Amino acid sequence: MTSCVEARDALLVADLADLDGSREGPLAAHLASCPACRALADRVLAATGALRAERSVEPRRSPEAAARMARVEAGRVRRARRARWALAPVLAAAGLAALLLVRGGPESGRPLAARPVPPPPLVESAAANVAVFTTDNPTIVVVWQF
Amino acid sequence: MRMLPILLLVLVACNAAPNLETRTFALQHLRPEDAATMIEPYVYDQREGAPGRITHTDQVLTVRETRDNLERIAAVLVEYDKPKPWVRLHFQIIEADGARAADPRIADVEAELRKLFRFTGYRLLTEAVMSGTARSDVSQSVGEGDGQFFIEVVIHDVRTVNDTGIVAMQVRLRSLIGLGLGSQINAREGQTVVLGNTQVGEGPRRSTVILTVRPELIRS
Repeated sequence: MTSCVEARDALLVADLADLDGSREGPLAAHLASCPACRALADRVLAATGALRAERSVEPRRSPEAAARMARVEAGRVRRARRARWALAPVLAAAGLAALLLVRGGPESGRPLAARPVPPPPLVESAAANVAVFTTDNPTIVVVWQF
Repeated sequence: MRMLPILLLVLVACNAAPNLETRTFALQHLRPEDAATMIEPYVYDQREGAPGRITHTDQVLTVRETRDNLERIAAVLVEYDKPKPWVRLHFQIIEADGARAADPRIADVEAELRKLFRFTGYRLLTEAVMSGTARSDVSQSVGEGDGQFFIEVVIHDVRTVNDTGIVAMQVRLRSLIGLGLGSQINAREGQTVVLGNTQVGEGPRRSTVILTVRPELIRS
């Protein structure tokens, strides 16, 4: 039988199913018979419940989402390629004519300048409303939930 | 009429199938299916007469494409087939109104908190250090008894933006006094993110607990 000390040690790391009674086990059995530990377990469940909504929020771009985007992009590129190949003879002829008529200017072939990437926002999601405070110390930022 | 032979030549050239080569790439760190997805846009599998192909087996990727595209694919794999960077996360759990004496271990954070809030003092309850790579979960139980906390972190991504390492992670803190603190954040390496809220505990045990996290990239 689990003691109160053992139960309290296990409360924070336990599976939620052990806390809400949906799974049987020594901890669940103790919580069913000990009101004090039951109250603590309810607090942990309440705290975890507040985090649950936030837990389900995916990051801005998970690796899986990035892979999905890559596949969509690949499909788009393929369709564009097919369309281009269908028009290729016409475009080639037009391009050749343009080359014969106009010589490339000094800007032709110059690569586009790399654009700086904006940094991601500090907070992507939170369990509650948040206020973000920048501080005088550039390495410290405060995120206050309310 | 003079243009007609040139146009015909162009038409013939457009329909000629390119020469394809086959090259096998040994992957060191990327999963073959991820690498295949990554190079898919470089493989023309709908090309009439000479479709490109990707096949993969255990840590080996074989691609049939034009020499130019194979060179591009090789460059992509060289850039991305690298070990995942490790991140070391430094945590501090601080209690607001916990003490009047200054603690040098939280001096920097306390100095900024004092400018923002009216708590009388701050006390370092406990510290923790955890390490992980992108797409890993780490957790740790710290403290004892009613002062026990459970820190959970999901490290979603570690990337470099404008030469600065950024760790995208979900941080959660649970405690027996009913604290639920959590956020999905993008923290710069070396930056200390201070997470706090005001709804902790009940009655005389009511207090404000603050979690700080500072990521450190471990570069090999």
